[in-house]
Amino acid sequence: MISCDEAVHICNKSQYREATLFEKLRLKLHILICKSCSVFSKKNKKLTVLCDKAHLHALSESDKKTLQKQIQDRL
Amino acid sequence: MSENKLHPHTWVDQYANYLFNYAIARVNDAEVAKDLIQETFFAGLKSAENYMGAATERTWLIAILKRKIIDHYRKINSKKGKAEIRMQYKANTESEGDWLEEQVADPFSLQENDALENEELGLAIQDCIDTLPEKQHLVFTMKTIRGLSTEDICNELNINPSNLWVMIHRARTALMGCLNENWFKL
Repeated sequence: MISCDEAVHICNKSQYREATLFEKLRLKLHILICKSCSVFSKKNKKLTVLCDKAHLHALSESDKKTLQKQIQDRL
Repeated sequence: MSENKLHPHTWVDQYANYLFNYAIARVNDAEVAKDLIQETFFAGLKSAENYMGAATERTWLIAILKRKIIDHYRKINSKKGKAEIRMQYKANTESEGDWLEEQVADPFSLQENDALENEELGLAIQDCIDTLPEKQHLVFTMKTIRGLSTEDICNELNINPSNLWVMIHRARTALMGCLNENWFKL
């Protein structure tokens, strides 16, 4: 049986589709017997859905750096 | 007298992504949005002495950005020269001859609110992300929003994967709490 720490780790990985099938299976088993991990997993999934739905955008680090430099130059 | 002061050197870190999301929802083009925030920051610097401290820094910047977006639409409209109205009643499809009434929007549909709601949600999430500690903020943004792979992030930031997952976990837990407060309780 896996520990809660491991379960949480797999749960986080599976939000980014990086958990293997075997890991996901072990997570499912753990969730069956662990109430708090089951709650965490549900919330975590919800966060992923919200982030997908929001179509968030972010500037890349290089874009930010050029912007920062341009501001610095004008200060 | 007032507590609100401008700190232009922190603008990019604190507000760039928020403004970027705000702009992109309105102009629907990443490049244009990028130019608009650049112009916004420059205009902010230029009129910094007019800032009275009545609003927070971000509200003030958003107000400038709004003007910039309006200017942008004015500019592309004047380029076109004249307004153009096109009406097409699906003349070339097999629905020719159908009643126009059949094509009006479904009054019971809730879908047209989705875009609006999603934009608000996006800004709420961005708000919460901006409260995260710097490192978590960076890792979460790279992983979730820009969708970079674990390996790339580790190489770029010089951390190991377990480090990354710890930060992702802390960021996600903080975000769940923050969204619970700010989004679901509305």
